[in-house]
Amino acid sequence: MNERSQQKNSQCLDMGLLASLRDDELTADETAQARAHLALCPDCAADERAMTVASQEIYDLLAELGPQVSEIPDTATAFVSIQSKLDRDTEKYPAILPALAANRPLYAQRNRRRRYGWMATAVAAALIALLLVPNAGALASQFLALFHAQQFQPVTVDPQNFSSDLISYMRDFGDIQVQYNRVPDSLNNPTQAQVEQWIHFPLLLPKHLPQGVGHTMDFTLISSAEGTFTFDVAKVQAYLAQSGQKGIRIPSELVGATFSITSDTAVVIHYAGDCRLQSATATSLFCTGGTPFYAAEIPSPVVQATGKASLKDLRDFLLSLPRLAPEIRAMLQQLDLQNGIVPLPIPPEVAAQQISVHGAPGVLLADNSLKVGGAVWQADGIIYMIASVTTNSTDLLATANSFS
Amino acid sequence: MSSDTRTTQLITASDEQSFEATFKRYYPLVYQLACRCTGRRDEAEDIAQEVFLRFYRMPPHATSEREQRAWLCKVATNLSLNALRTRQRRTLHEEQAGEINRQEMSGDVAHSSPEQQVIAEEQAANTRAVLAELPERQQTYLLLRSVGLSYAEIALATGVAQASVGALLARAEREFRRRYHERAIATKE
Repeated sequence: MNERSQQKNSQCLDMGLLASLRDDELTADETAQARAHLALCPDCAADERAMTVASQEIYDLLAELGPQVSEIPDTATAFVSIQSKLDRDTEKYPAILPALAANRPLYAQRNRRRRYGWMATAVAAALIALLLVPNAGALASQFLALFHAQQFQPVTVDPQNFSSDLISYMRDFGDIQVQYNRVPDSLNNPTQAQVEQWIHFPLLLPKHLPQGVGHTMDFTLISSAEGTFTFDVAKVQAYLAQSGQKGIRIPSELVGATFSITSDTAVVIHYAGDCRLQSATATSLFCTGGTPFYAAEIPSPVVQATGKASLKDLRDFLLSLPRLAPEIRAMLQQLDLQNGIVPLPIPPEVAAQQISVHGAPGVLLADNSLKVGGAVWQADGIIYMIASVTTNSTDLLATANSFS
Repeated sequence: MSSDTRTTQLITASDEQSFEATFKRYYPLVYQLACRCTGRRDEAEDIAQEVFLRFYRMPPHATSEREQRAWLCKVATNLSLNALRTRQRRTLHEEQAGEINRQEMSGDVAHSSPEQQVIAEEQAANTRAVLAELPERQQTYLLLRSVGLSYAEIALATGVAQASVGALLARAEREFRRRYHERAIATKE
């Protein structure tokens, strides 16, 4: 193309113009002029064809880098994650909230009222911790099957960095791949009947709600996901060298060990006075009125270990590291593998109390400074969580016990 | 690769509902861009979250959907290239120290046979290597175009005149192709 370019006359199309023509970025007049020239100029026509072929090759190569549509994380799940981070923002920067509120009153004020984000973080972190609980029977056969968390043990942690620390730790030790099974767009605002059809467990709803909570329900389905974690010795060695931890022996059974994690579809229910689409183009319901109240029903993840290593081997190795973050060490130490006791990370300002919900052990949480509270318990392999702007433990416990 | 021409109401970060709508609409695009640039899904997830955190904390003064989309893509590209730079520095340091042999950079597309998977991974590694050799501006043009941004959006995201985008893209494509073929010849030899 370069040789021909040197022979071109002043009317010939330069590469920029040819690219614009190819990409349909010229006006109708410009396109007509360019096409007329191509019809008369074999050199430019050849350039145009060559450029089209070449660019197709390049963009095909770039498209091969992925990701495929099925590999893009579920948007609803990602949004829950970012909401949790934004809620933490309001706790981290309380002094600037009034200034923010002056500029963005609706958002900022709503976040101030809904400062229960730590609870979502705590539950998310608890779920991550759940992944480390093996089934004792399956351990013997090197294969971990369904397990159920039996109890939650509150562990005080700093919620500002807990979840990201744990995830970054896991990334230092291997590769994490997650495949999300997306919830169809048609279920963006599902009805109760649609939710019941979509999830694989009986949907329970509270017969009693805390004082002031509205009775309109806005359901959000959280997609199921399948993930794998593969222990990578090269990464671990790099991490150990970088963090100055010397003389650490990597157990041979961990080399290449793979753990697969499957989480089934979960549901979050927002109770409000009224929920509706605000415009014809809106995709999400806008809920207003009443005391905010949320309930979540999340199936326990299923973990399988392949290869020679068990999850206990992985946990023991992490605990052998002298520079393991204190929060993660505390969490791992609280795991009771025999009895299925799972640590529940909570911020220091939150009071935790062991409770019984329908005979199942759970934890009641209350932050008196923020006037928010909630409860977490499990039954039949499903983890239940409620949260609201109340610290009335009697009311919260009555709500938890009214799920049926 | 046509631009997003849906005539929906302009979304701003001025309230919670519109932030959620913006997030749900553009998260896949931002994630795709970050994933394509970094080659790592976990890193891409972090970057996509960071893009929207920045969008929420300091929303752009966008007066159109096109400006909003361009802003999100610009931030995603910048963060991705920063992440790549950091990783390349770390890899170099670790390789010099003899601590690791290589960083894993595999393609994301599923293939039917192990042989096809190996070929696809090699091709993806080549593509990423060639992309990384280009000046960052050229990487940016190609990445933005590869996820479907129009010339107007590329111009907004990169601060160049819209009329120059065609020429800049053509130059970046030519350079990519030249290096890719050189690499292919060198590999065969």
